[in-house]
Amino acid sequence: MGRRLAHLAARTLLGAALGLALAGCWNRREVNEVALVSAAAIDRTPEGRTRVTIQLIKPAALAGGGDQAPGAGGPRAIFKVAATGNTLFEAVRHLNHYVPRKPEWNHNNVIVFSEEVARSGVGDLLDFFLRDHEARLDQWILVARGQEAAAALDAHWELEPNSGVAMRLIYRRGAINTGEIAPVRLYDFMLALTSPTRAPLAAVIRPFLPGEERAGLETRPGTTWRIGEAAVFRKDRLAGWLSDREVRGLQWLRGKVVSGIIRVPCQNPPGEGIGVEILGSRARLVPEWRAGELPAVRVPIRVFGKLGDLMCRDDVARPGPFARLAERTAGVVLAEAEATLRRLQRELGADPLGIGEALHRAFPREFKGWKERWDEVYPRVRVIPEVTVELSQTGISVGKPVPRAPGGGGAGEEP
Amino acid sequence: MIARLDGGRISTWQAVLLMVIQVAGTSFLVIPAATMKYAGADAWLASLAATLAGLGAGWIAAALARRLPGLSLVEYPVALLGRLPGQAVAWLYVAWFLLSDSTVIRQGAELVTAHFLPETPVAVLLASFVLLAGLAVHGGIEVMARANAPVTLLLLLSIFLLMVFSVREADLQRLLPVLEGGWRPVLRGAVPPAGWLAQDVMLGMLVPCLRRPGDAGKVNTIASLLTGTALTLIAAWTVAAFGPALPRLFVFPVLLFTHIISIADILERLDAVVLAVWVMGVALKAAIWYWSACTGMACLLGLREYRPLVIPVGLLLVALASLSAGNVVELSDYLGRVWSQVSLPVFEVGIPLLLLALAALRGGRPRAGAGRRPPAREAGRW
Repeated sequence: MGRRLAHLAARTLLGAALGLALAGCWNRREVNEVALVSAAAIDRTPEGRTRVTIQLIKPAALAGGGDQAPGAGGPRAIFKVAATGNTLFEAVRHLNHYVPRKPEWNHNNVIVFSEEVARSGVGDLLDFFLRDHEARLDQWILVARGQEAAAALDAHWELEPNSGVAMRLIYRRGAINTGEIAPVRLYDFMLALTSPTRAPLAAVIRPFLPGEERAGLETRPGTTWRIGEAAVFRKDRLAGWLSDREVRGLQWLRGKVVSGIIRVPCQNPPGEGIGVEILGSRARLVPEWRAGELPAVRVPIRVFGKLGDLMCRDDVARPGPFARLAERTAGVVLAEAEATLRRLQRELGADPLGIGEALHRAFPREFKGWKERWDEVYPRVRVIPEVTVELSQTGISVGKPVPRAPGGGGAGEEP
Repeated sequence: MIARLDGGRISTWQAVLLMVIQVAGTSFLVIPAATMKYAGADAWLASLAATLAGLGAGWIAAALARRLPGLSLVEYPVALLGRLPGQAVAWLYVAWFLLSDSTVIRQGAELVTAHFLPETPVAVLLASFVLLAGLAVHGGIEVMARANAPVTLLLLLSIFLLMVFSVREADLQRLLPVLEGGWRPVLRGAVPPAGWLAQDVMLGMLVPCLRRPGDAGKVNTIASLLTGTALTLIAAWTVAAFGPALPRLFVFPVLLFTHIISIADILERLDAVVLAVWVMGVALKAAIWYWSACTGMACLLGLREYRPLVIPVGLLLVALASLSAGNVVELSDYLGRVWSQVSLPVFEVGIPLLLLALAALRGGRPRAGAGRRPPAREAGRW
């Protein structure tokens, strides 16, 4: 009887002890105790120290509901703090001199580097994001062109009160919808950086240039920043830029253009445009090499699309002209791809496409020799895009032009 | 003796699953890093080669069990080498169980500290693992086998799901070119996984508790192939998703899969699920070695019960685990470089092979009294 009692007491105690453990005393952090980092920007001070600016979420303001329009007089749901340190981690900790909660990195959306930091190399700064157990590989990487990175956190984006989230969504969805942004998470950046030949990329965040709003899109006061283009790195150092169109050229070569519009010049009247909507693309690298020559890489690209808008008199809704429209579209894609290749091979000497990796896989023995003088070999590798476009439909219209007054300009006048 | 100390009996399939967790419990976490250090993109080939070591070590254990039925790994030396040298070798095995188990527990604790609970003292995590494993050991082999079945299946399932969910990021071309550096780095990289897979020699402790001891060979074949295949797949998939260089920057590269998985923006940040499954896996692996140490010790000391040893051995394990490495750098280095190079030639293959040769020379018939078939079930369970 006594033994059973002792057993019962032991079990009860053990149960109580488990209960204590389950409450999780050690690493417990309630939502109202954390400060979630939504975006981080990294600059260098004139003295060469690292300045980190982070955007923190104010949970209370977010919970406040929709009646206080964030940014329009009401309390903003986010705020920005900055600190300086000799190392990135030190800078982050200095924030706690005036932020009452410890920043949590688990949900950080983007890391923005200033152009200056990018030029002097980001490798050492990325270490913190790879080492800290809170940081994850799905943070998106941006370079603030010609700007302080901290300024990018002040950019105002419509529809999203939290600008870190806005930047991530524009980055990711813009990559899908336009093909003119190469999606680069820390994961993608590191995959390139750890490869012997591949060049990392990052999208560019910058203010609209004067006059640019007119050519691009209507802007509302405040929405003055954009994400697009690309910063091309050699190893961890910024080497140069790609324009929106050049990024799409690269994405064609990678078979990663998911959507977007290709403008094909009209024949009647010349100068106007046919919009082909991209439905998808595929590409692969086919390395070729004959002894004694430099290697070549064929890139068969398949583009799938449909007629999106027809702002001219071309009657394309017949099999012959429709097939020729596909060929003309292929010509446009080819030109974009070749322009990007010229820029990457001749001007930047950077290989974000993975030409080196493809050659390494196909000709491992020969590659050893090429790798040693890769900077000389790479610009001379013949990269040959071969584009085929498959147009499947004309939308819900039959594909004939809409009647209009003779000689009228239509809406798509180009300057 | 082992069979008398633990009256429980386990089925062939339970034994297979125990043998799987016994290797997989920790090796999934550390193998890609340890192997890729040498073999690079060919890590999967190294794992494949290591599977042979697992099959071999298990085969030796099964062959010994066939020649000396009813005995276990700590009793073969006594039966074959004579009393004093035999006892000495058997005690070495017990020490090896303890030392290996302490690193298993330490790995589990370091994983939890590094990724999830950075502020919790490692000693608390070590003690929790030992408490959990100790309860299982106290329950006996049947309890361990039953608790293990769902855990092993969940562990294999979690590996499978990590691979399926990350399929968008995986590019099998990253495995090319195969064998760029020739076979030498592959074989060098095969040593750590071979050391882990050859832990199949632990079958020698489980075999007396098998309901059908004749199935030992079958248990080894199925368990080794299952574990070897899973390890090969995870090594290949790690390279496919992260390339040959990036995983080398991390202590537990397999956990990175949870960073890149995002299915429809909903199924992401699966870290907690993975952690739950793998903590159970580590605890069960620790329990098997813990149990082997306790029963082995009881056997050598001629005790009638192994259960009084559970608490003292547990305390010993917490202490050993704290001492097994000063920090995680030492632990990684010890596991990747030292442990396998000692265990594989000595405890997993060397001594067992020597014992098997002796048994074969002696003509296969066990010495009188040493090889009683275990009774189906002993009375007097505690």
